[in-house]
Amino acid sequence: MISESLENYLRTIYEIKLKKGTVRIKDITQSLDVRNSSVVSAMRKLGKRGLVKYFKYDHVDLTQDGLVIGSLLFEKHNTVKDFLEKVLNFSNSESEELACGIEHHLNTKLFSRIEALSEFFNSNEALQKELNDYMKSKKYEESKTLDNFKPGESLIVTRVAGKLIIKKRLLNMGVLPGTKIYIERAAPFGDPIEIKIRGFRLSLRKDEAKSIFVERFEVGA
Amino acid sequence: MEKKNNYIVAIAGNPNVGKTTLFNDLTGSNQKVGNWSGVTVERKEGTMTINDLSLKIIDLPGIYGLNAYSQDEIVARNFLIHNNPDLVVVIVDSTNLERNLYLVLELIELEKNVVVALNMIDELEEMGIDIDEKGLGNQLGIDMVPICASKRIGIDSLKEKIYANLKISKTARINGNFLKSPLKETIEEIEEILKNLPGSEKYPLKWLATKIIEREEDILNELLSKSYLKNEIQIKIDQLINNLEKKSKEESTVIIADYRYAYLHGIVKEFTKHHHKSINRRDLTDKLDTFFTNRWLGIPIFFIILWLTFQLTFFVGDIFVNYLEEFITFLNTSVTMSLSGNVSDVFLSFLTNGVIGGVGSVITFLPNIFMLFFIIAILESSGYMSRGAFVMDKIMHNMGLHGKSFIPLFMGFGCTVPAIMASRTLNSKKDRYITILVTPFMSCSARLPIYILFASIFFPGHQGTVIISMYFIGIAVAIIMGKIFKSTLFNEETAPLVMELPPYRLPSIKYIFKDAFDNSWSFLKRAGTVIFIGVIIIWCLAFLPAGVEFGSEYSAAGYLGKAISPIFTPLGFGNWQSSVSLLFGASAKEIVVGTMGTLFSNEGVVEGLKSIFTPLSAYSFIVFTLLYVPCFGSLITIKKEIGLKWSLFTAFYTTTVAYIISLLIYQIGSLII
Repeated sequence: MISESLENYLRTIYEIKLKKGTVRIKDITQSLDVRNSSVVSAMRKLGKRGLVKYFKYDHVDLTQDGLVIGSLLFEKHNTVKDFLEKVLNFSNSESEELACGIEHHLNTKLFSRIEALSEFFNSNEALQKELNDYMKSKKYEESKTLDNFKPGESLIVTRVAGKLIIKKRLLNMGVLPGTKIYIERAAPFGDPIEIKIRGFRLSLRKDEAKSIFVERFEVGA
Repeated sequence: MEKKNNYIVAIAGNPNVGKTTLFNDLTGSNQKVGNWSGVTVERKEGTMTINDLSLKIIDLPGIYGLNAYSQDEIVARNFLIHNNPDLVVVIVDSTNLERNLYLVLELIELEKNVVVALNMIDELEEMGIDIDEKGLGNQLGIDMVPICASKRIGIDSLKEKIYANLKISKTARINGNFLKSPLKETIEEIEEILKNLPGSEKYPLKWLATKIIEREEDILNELLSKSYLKNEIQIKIDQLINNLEKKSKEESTVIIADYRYAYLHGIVKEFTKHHHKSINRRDLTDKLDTFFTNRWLGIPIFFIILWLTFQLTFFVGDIFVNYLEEFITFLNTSVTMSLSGNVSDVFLSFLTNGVIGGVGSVITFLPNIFMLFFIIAILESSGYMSRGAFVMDKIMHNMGLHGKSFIPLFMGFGCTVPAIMASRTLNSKKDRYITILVTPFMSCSARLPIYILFASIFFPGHQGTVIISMYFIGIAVAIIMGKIFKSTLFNEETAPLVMELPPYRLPSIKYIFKDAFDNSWSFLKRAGTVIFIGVIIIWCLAFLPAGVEFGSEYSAAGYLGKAISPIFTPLGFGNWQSSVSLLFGASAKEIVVGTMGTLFSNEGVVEGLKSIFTPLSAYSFIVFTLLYVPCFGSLITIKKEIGLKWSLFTAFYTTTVAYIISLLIYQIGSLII
């Protein structure tokens, strides 16, 4: 058994290997948005377990065992992600994030049942629609990303996620958990949007707005 | 103590807060514009003296904090961290203190010698807000001076403070410790680890610790690169940060930003007072924005403004261009008149066709360039530019560009040279490079005479359609090439758009004139000489060997034309006259028409052209002139903006594209007709 975070590393290496053929430490740092040192120490641990081979010039590769486990993890991850996205209607980035957490707690039994449920809904469009309508009627008051809201809404930031480079810029400009935001308007084609924050105006593309999680802010409260 | 008499003072601040105006206030005309080494970010440097001290003032690009983000921000950050200026004057927008002080706080943490200029103090008064700058300054351990850079208010007291701070060379230090648990402990523990690392003495330990918690990896990597305990230390630090994140239930980057903003929020509240509310400029901005960024009106207004920019640049500019051209013709004639017979023909031709013609081709660009930069300065300093980018971003983003790319591309219909220079308003390297590379395809006004000549001869009754089709072909090629470059040459992530929309402000006329003048001057100085040399070379080709008719079949250019003309046979215009025109057209495209005129001076242009072109080959030819190597002036401007390599690349790839498209047109056309 390896730890959750090591599983994530293993899956990521497998994914990068699929996409690019070779894997560098830098790729892993970027795609998991973690510190360089964390990757290095994780690689060492995976190396000790004989799952990862470590080369010079910051390249790594999976061993035969690593490849097997990596591909299993990859499949698991995608199934869970698909389930969240297609059946439960989470956004792509949210499903990705949730899947990263959930996938580690699945035993084979639960995994195969989720897979079955996914297939069931995928092949029954009518049922999927019924489920969607039912969920809509429930009106979940959950933390959503900024791009889901309309001009004229007052919101409060709950979390700033996303790529480190965008996150730091947002933090520098004072977009922090607890900060109030007012959506002023959307540009002519609906993107980018303009928000008011800390007494100034900021424009963001919807892509960037996706990394800001917000909740409705009740003016009376 | 050794008397130091050459101090380096950096001016830092957020974008759009009046940095350049203050820089001008301080240095007057003692300025030098260059590039930061290795990057294309403009570096402005000036000198001034205060009493017995002489200072070198560096105007840094606008930044929000000391994090590496875009290219110009990295420049500013590295200068502040590594170059150790003797003093940093941070200019802040006092109507937006909290966010502006974030950078100030970071510089204080870095223990720099800091003086803060509280700009736009007049606006603050209008808004009915008082700042207790003494109290606020004491709290932060720095001097604060209220100023209004555009009206030159408070500049003298700012100079006094700069003088005083340089004399005592103090470092800023915050009153009291406002760090709270558990961040406080984590910082202390990391400080303890860093203390023993060689190289850490260069920076304040506490600042280093903060930066490491903020995950600024380059700084930690630099320190660790020399240590043999590299991995152990890194893991230890990671653990400390992980613990901090667990205790605070928040990510480390957020923890740091949060503690700074919480502190600033507190002190801004403590040292500002709202008394009455009179005019609020922000209300004015709100009102203007309901038009300028309106869902329906935003884009039409943007186009109207662009159209006006275009009109002013090229039509008002052209009035002066005409005067200049008349003057040059006059000069040419009078030189010819007064000297002919007295000097050899070679020398006379050199003087008139070469020198005067060469100088002429450089200075005739000037009125357009001046007008363009004049208007761009107005659009930028009034706050409209970012609105334009806002409304156009979606369309341009689909092309792989930024909202602001639209301005240079549109200016390209007028003249490619100022259009390329206008791309400076783009902050991201990728956006800027792609914009520059595709701008030459926007059909500039110099190409119009070629279309008119050919369309009227070969497509009578359809001139309009033929000419419009040129513009569309240019735009289509620009879009396609933009997309190709986006995914091949610059296959990095798209620069995110996180852009401030500053309040609208009345631009200062003085600053606008100065900016337009500086840009025109820098064009004249750097591009002028090279364009001049280029024109001389072409003159030599047309003139030599001595005795032949200027630019005729038997001149060097004529032979060259004959030598290369077979290349163009598959395109339908394998005659030497076309080749010569194209060769000369590389110096300025309108010359293609003039050359044709000279070459067919015996039989007349219409008959001459009809004898060597069919309508199809004529169309293929004008498409080629639209797309092939942009004029010499554009290439030099590209070299100046982004380097020789890209300039040569542009010459090569545009000609290739032109060849392929003209080939397709001629070959497919021949099959159909």
